[in-house]
Amino acid sequence: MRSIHFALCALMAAGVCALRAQTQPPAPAATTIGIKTLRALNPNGTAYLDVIFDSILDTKHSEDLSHSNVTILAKPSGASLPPDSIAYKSNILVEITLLTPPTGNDDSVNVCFKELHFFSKGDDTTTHTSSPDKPVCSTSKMMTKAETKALVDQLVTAAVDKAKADKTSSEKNIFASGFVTTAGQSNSQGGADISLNGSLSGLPGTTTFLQIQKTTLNNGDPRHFEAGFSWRNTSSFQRTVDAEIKDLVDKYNQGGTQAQLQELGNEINAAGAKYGVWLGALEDIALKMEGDPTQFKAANVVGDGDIRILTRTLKLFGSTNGYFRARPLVVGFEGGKSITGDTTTTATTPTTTPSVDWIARGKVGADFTLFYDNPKTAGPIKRVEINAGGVERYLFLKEINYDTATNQDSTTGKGSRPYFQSDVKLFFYEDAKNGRLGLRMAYTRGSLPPVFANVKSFQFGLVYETADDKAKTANSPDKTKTAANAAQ
Amino acid sequence: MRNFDTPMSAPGVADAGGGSGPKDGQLQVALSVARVSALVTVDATQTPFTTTPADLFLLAFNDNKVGISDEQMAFFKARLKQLLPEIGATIDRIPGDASQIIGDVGQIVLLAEQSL
Repeated sequence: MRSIHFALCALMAAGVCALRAQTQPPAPAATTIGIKTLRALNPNGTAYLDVIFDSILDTKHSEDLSHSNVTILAKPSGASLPPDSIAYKSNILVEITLLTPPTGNDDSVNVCFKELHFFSKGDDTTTHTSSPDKPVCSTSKMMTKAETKALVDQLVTAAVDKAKADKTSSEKNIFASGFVTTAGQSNSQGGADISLNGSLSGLPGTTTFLQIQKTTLNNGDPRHFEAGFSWRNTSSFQRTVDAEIKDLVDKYNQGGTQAQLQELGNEINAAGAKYGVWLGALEDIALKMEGDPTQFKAANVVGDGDIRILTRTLKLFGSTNGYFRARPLVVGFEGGKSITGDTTTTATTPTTTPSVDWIARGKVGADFTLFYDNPKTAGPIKRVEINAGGVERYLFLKEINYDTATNQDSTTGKGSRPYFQSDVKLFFYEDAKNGRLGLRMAYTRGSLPPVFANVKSFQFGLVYETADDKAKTANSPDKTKTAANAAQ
Repeated sequence: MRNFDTPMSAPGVADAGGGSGPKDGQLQVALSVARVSALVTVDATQTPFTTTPADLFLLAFNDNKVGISDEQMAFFKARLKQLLPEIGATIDRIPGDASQIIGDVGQIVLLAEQSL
């Protein structure tokens, strides 16, 4: 054990030195601004130009929206189009209204800002100014109301297609050292921890799902597969505060004097401060097939209903350097029927898969996510990611269980079947350019349906994450939580 | 609603009273995010409203400065639909994928409102 510790420390030290030894100078922060998207639409005689920027505008510089700073031309004629109003809608969105949209052969508009004041990415304290020699411009075709609605459909469809991408463990990080366990195994093992979800079109709140947890590891294989579809309902807590803010926002949108709007803004801020820890409840009903993914000799059709409550994403000890969120499973019930066919004893298969009938289980549980990141801290730990979850199932009726003596799904049992899974990443080195290096530890203990094969595994090794996988890193907690979902 | 940042010297100066034109929905998007994540705050007294973090609309929902999970997206959508019921059908179709950029959802909301 001491030699393993020494080897890991030596590897980590070497990795940190290698990352720091890279001699490329850090790239300067981006100090340019551009128009990410220009949408020009004429839904009802008044044209709207929605200008979305790729950096944050300094909205204190209202001269950026003056008519002398903004040029709008109809294309292809080049005729000037005087704006009716130019307004900030957020710190990346400017809306321009035209009382006289392009006519005749002109079907596009060109918008140019001579000068803009903005903040560079990642720095919201220093105001930069775009070069007057390089106006910030974009051109867009005018869209009718029907074309705008079609564009909305396209954008939504694109978002749905992107969301369907598989989020498997291999996409999230480089697990440098493979699987190492304490279950008496000296060789590395392989495994799959896959969770796929998709929505059913036309059925709001309904999704399909598939989850597999399988490894080649003795005493580390949950032998878990389930696939099916589920329907979800959300119930928000603090509905009175929700209603109060909605009422205030509706009044805000009706307009008023600056003093009235500021007062409404104060009331909205005050109402928003009333929100507490709890977000709401999720009520899920699912119909699924679960099986032992080795040979599917043990399989069940199960109806599953549960209620879980969620916290909001909360600051970690009041700091914005991290967050915490929890999701207790308050109550759940799984009921169904085994669809395993009885197998006959033969000379080569001396054991049988027992025949069981009905399934009835109760469950409670919880999982949480904790994240902390402070690369500039003087302490050794720069970043922490913890995902842990557990579920206690109680089997009211006998079900097929995995027999470790025969390595078959050949016994039955009922009663308590707990399961716990945790994934911890500690990073000791983090650099915005070179990435981060640390340790990953994953601990699993307990059993999962359908065969409740006992699992006791501890995975420990180095992990390196590249600097440009912020989105993937952010997904990592969700993926691990999804693995904990398998327990629920 | 007209915006007060339009300079007084420019034609078509902003009126101080009365609302006109379609909603843009951006404040509602920011408030819905803040409903789910205590890491995000919205100051509606400013014109335009300001957020913490300031680059909220450039971030993904699951960015570590926002911290919203896929499951929490259901509450974001429910809250947004409550604030903008006239485009509820469009909001229902937005996926519960927390890796989406908040500004992209804001664009969908904006265009949906303007095409009503």
